[in-house]
Amino acid sequence: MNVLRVVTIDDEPLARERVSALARETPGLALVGEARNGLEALDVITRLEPDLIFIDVEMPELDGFGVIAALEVSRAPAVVFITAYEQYALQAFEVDAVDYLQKPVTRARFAAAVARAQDRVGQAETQWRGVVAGAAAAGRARGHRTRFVVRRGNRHHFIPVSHVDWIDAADNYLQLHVGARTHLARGTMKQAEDELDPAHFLRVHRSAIVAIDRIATVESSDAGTWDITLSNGTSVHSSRPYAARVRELLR
Amino acid sequence: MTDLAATCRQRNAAILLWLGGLIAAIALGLYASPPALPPGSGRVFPRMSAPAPDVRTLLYMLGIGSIVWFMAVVALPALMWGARRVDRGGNRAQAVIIAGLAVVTLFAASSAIQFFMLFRGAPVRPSFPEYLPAALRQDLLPWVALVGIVAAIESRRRARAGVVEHERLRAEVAEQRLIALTGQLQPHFLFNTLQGISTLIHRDADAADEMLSRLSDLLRELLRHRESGLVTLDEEMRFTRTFLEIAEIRFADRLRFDIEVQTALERALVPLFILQPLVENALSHGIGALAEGGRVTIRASRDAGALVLEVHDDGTGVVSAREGVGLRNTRERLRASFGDEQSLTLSSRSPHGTVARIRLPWRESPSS
Repeated sequence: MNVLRVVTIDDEPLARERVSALARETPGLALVGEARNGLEALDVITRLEPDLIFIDVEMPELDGFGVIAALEVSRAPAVVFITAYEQYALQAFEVDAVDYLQKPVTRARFAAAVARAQDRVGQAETQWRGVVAGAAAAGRARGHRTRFVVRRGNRHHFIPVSHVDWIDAADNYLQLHVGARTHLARGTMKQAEDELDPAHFLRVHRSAIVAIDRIATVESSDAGTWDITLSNGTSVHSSRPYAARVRELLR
Repeated sequence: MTDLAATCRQRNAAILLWLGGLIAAIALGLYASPPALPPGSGRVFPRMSAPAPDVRTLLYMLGIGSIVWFMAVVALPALMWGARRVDRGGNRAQAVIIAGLAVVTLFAASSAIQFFMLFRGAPVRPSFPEYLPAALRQDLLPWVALVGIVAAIESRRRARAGVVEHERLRAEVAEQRLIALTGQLQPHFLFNTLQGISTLIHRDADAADEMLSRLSDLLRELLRHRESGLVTLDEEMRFTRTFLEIAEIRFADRLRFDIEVQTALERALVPLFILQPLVENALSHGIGALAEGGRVTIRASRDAGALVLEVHDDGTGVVSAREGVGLRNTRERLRASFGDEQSLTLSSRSPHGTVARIRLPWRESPSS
């Protein structure tokens, strides 16, 4: 059996210490990295591409679900969530995790989670889509998105949604236009539309969302569509299915 | 007890006074001679235009006129009793009937006494039923006045009872919410502490012992103060210190903390564990993210009529990211305890860090 490469993620040093110790002493596991917050987790997972991650759900700034939703990896890890507080456990199952562990983590329970992970590592790829979608849904359930996580090289950063001028689609990514720069973030237009506050963002095209307060002018063009010019001069076209929403804006 | 005795004495005196008055009125009526009225005129009192009556006639009229007022006083408790029960569902009809019967009986009694006194020795007298309509007309005023008085007293009582009841319910709801919120010794904290103890057992049994003992202190405090919404600042700071001592172990040397409270402020009253979510925030958003750790400072000061509590950290946390469940609960607890007289603000410190500041109206625990 292949040795599973493990990363542990928890903002509580003592919690991380215990889970890492259990990972070290368990045959068939190799602890390759640790992270102590969400952004660090993204960096470590992207760099090391582990087979299995143990990730705390409750972390400041970017929590466990947020990490999974923002993660872009070619090889999906099996995910075991760790939670201090039971209410998150149900959500963890909704995100189709391999397992979840409650604090304090016992050796027996840890071993059971590892066994489940070993069974599922082969099929991790098929599970992954469900895990990501579930994590994104869990994030949405907690309110409108306040920022995007973008990757530059092996580092991950936050982009507050208020910095974003407009967004267009590129395959399975979102291109976030922030001033002169463009960032790639994981996600689809549909997800972005659902997650962003409709009071501040408007979808005007199958592949375009604009920040409402960046709109400078709106001109009607032929066939009931609109030409939108942003305050930085960028011009974005609305398409017919979304024209009504633009019209609503003008009222 | 003395209050009760005094009330009883007052009531007995009132009854005696009333009885004496009633007897005097009847005696007056009987002693004085009836004025010469045209028989069968149906009018008890002479018209104002009639010649001025003599003293005996006046006394006679006073006696007869008083009867109905005395009877009205007798009817008052019955009417009050009925009015009080009218809106209590169930026995409503019964209450109305009993009060009504009391009024009718007393009316009949007063009319009978008047009838007897009026036509005593008169050569021609109407039958009692024939006299009743006249009595009704004459005595309408006292009875209407009686009903008016009862209605006024009752509506006043109800208004006051309504306000009192409303206040009571409001206090109860606020209290319930307070208990519910206090019960949230953030589970996140509790279970992370247990995880910490579990970790330390394998590495450092003494440290595990220490952490377990601190957690026990905390839980004891929580149980001890479960009933009360407010504690002294002294107690709150003791709790906060224990809380931070546990965090010190959790953060393994990365946390330093100071508590700066003048002795003069120790008896100020604050909601139980009000600082806990703020401290927890400072730890997880402020210090937790820093590899080199940081410092948390708790400060209390008095500003005119307000107590100001501050939790400083020198971390990098973003103010907007901190508005979680903990802060929401804290705001709600403050509102439940102090209405609009309080505030909770978060602001950034320069060069880095955050201050959470609570302002409360100054209240002090009486010295014990």
